[in-house]
Amino acid sequence: MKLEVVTTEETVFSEDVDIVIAPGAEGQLGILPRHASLLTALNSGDIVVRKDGQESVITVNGGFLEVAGDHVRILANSNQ
Amino acid sequence: MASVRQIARRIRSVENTAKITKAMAMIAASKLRRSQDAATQGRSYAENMAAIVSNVVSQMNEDESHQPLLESRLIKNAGIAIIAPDRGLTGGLNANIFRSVSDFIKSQSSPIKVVAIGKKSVDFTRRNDIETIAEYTGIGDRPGPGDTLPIAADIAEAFSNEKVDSFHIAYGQFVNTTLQRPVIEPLLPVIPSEVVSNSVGYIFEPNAAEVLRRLLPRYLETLVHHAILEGNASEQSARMVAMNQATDNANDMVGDLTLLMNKLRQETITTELLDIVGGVAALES
Repeated sequence: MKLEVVTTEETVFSEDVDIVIAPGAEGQLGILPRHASLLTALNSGDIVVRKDGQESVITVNGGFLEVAGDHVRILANSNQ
Repeated sequence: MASVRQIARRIRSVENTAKITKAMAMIAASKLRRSQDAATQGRSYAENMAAIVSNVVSQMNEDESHQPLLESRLIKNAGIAIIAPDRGLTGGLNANIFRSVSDFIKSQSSPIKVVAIGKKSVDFTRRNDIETIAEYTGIGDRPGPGDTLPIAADIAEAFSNEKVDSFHIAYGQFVNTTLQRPVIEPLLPVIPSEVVSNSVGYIFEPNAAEVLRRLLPRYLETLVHHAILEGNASEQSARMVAMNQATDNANDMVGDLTLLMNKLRQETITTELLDIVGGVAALES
């Protein structure tokens, strides 16, 4: 599953990952591969990404998350 | 006929001009690198955003899609945002932008209202007596989202209040260093681009209308922000090219003037020699 995190200024993250946990508008949501297509607004918070047991955190200030096919796109609001 | 000294002075003055234009070209070149990076890096966000919006809008049904920014109305007043540099010395860029804007305004049957961005753009509306909704100057070479958000907000407000019934945006599109194209693109109402073939049935959280309500203003902001970044990169590259050209011209001119000066000096020496030789010959005879 490919995750792409972009802000207005740059692409922050673009890698294959195992799971994405994001602060959705309706609460935390975890996305695993083969998730149904989804579009949600994001609240401010941390996106946790896991790949082969390695965990990394990306902080966003709100934005949108789209799942389409095997592709997760996060349009993050800039931190300014 | 100019004297040798006059020409020498002229040469010095042209040389000084060349130094200034060369410095300006170098400044523009260094600013260009950053502006160009900003414009190209932002493209990914803008494209992703456009893809999502068209995906969502294309699968909305009638009442879900009732959003102020999507509403197409009969156009009684047309709006256009003109993005132009704050300063001149950009070769033909400004003139090209304003020419295409003038053509666009002529082609509209309804009255035009303008959001002017950049000092040259404000000057343009004054010169042509065009009504402005808002004016922004001094945005600078590195606009952050904070600089462009109020502009998008003004545009959205003018549209929602039915002050204008459509909105276009005009800016210099950065194609490459030597080519900047003036473009005019529709902004509002948001018209979904062609339905993407792999258009997917989304689950929306919290719901479609709410997502769209949040998404559309962001989309507008992104478009405006991106257009300003593009305009900025165009400005710097146009200035760099224009100033390099000016430096070359000045150097050519110095060459021509130096040639002229040497010829003139030789001529003076020759006439003086002839005078002396003639004088000696006259004495001897």
